[in-house]
Amino acid sequence: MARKNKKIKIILNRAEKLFNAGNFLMAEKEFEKIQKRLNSDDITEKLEVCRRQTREIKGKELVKQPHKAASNNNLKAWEAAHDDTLLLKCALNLVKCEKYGEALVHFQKMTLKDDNAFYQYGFSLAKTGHPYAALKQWERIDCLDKDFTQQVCHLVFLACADLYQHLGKFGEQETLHIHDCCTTAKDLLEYARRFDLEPLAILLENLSSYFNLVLVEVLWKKQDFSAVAAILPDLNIMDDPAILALYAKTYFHLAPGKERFLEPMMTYWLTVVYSREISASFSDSEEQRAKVQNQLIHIAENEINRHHTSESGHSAATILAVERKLLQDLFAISQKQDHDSMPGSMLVCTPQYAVLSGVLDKILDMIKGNRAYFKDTEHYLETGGYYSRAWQSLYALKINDFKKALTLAQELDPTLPVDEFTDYVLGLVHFKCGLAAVENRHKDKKKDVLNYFALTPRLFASVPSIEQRFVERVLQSSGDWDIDYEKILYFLHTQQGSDAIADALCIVKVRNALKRYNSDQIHIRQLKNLIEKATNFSPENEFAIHTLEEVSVDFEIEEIAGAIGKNKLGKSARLARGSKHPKVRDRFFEFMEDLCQQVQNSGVDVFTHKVYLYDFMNAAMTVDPDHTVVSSIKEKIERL
Amino acid sequence: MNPFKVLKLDRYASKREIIQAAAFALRDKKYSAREISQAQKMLLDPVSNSCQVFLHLIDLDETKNRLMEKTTQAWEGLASRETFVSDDPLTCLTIFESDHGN
Repeated sequence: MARKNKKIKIILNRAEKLFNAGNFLMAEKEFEKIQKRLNSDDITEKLEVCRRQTREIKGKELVKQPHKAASNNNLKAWEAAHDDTLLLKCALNLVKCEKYGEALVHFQKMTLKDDNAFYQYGFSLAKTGHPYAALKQWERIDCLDKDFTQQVCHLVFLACADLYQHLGKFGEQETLHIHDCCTTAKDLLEYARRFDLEPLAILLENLSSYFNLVLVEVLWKKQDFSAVAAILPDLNIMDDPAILALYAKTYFHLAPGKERFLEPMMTYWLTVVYSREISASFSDSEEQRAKVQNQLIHIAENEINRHHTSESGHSAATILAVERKLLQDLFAISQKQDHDSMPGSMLVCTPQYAVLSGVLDKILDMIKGNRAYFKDTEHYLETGGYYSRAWQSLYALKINDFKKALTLAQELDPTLPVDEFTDYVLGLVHFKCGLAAVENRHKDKKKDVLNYFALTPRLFASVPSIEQRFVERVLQSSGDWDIDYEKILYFLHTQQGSDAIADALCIVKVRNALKRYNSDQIHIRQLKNLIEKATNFSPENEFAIHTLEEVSVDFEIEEIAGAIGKNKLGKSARLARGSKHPKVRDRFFEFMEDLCQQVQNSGVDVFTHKVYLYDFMNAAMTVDPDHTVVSSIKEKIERL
Repeated sequence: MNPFKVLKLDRYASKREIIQAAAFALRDKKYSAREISQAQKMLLDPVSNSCQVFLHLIDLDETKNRLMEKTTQAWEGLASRETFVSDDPLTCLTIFESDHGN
């Protein structure tokens, strides 16, 4: 036992000496020998120190001799101790030794902090056949160095080559993999565009669209329409009927939950339903095809009507009606038309889709070339207007968003030539906005509404039916806006307005004068003058002539009454005599009868009574000596 | 409601198959009798059937094939270009090395 203790003491002393001398490797071995027997805390601590120091020393040696690093178990100790600096140095040396696979193992276990680490990690990934993963590492480096950029481009190409291998090789169950391919393709496409790799970008666009379509098929089966809708913008295909149908159907399935999808649904719905390629799949029979088309439109209408209380639902219903008519017309025209190299059927689309696919001008040419098809100028210009530069403004106008319609019209590039359709839309928008401004005048009473009507004379000249409807609207109005209507009509009349405008102006002027008279703003004399002036605009206007006659009668009667009131019997008789209206004379005799009655009731003596009656009779006789009132007064005198 | 899903049919199902599928669906009890009857009605009427095909099914095969063709052509054109193809131009750059004092 004593011998054993002595031996332990010797080993302990030796270990302490080695420890103090900094020979941690040897000290560790000695400490390990005695720790088994002593199990002391002090020795445990010292062992820890020895081990830590030993690892560092070994690491430093390995950095100097990288080829030994990978096989050395001490790396595990560094990893455990999270010593990134040493791990990185080792990994970098492995890269230098072209041991990329082994370097990757270390890179993946540490937190990379600087550009060199990102670069070397990416480089190792690239060298081991992971160009896309390498790009993701290099993405973290902000560097414009030419050589580096060249390497990035090369990796884009290699990653693209990898991706290309998956073309046409997916099983239905590989959703996750498909998703990865979509993401990679989208990402690579961005790289290709950023580095102006045009041919690669074109390839990646197609590749990306392909993978997205594969994913769409999987998502469609799962009825995950929201996910499909999220993919649609990445498809890069706008000229394929099947894709258009996909757009329309996806938004249709999403619309019941969110009304905001109604508008995009409507962008594609009718275009697809009327597409020759899509409708061909409905049936071989033309009649049957038409039935399917109608039913599909009806289905869309029902969907829209479910949202009829909301603003967007109401707008969508209006737009549907407009577009349905548009597409029916375009469809009819396209049947006999193959426009240049483009089949007519490609031109049967909603304005919004026409913009997306860049066929607005071709559609306009088709409309212009088939003017005879349209029932009148308004039909022709309206249809063209929806495909003109000002189409959005016309849409806004149709849903009564006047402010937007006007703003959009004013935002049009004034340097571009104005064609007949744009001209029509601009005229119509200003005109309708003007009317809306008049009829909502309580909101902005100071605003001069005439500004809106500067283009109206040209609009009316090209489309007289609009003028006709305007005149009817004015004449049938309640009269609340007659003052403004009068100003507008007068303005239009001065701009070489038609007879219909002059007629309406005359009527509105008369109505306004009557309104002022009825509210005691003017005397009957002024009323008569105003009506006389109004008839100057339309001398044969029956309403004005009749009103003038009525007012003239009233005016003359009022004058007669005034004269009688001032005891000017002679004047009253002269007025009655001079009147061409029998009514006035009748009224004069009624006045005479009334006066006779008043005198009789006044209780004056017989002489005075007779004097009055003689005066009345004489005045009446100057007007009509044979009138019954004259003989009646005469009888009264005789009876006295 | 997707009648193809309710009756577990594809777009080419015949009248007989539709009726059989409805009978099977009734036994299966996954959908109500009303839904099954509605689905059957939708598919038996040719106009309605075409509408349901349009609404619920997609056929992207032609588009995918076109894309595959275009992609293959583009790839073949690209792979022959020297700008993109070289044996191994990837040599390790040293421009970032100062970062860690190596």
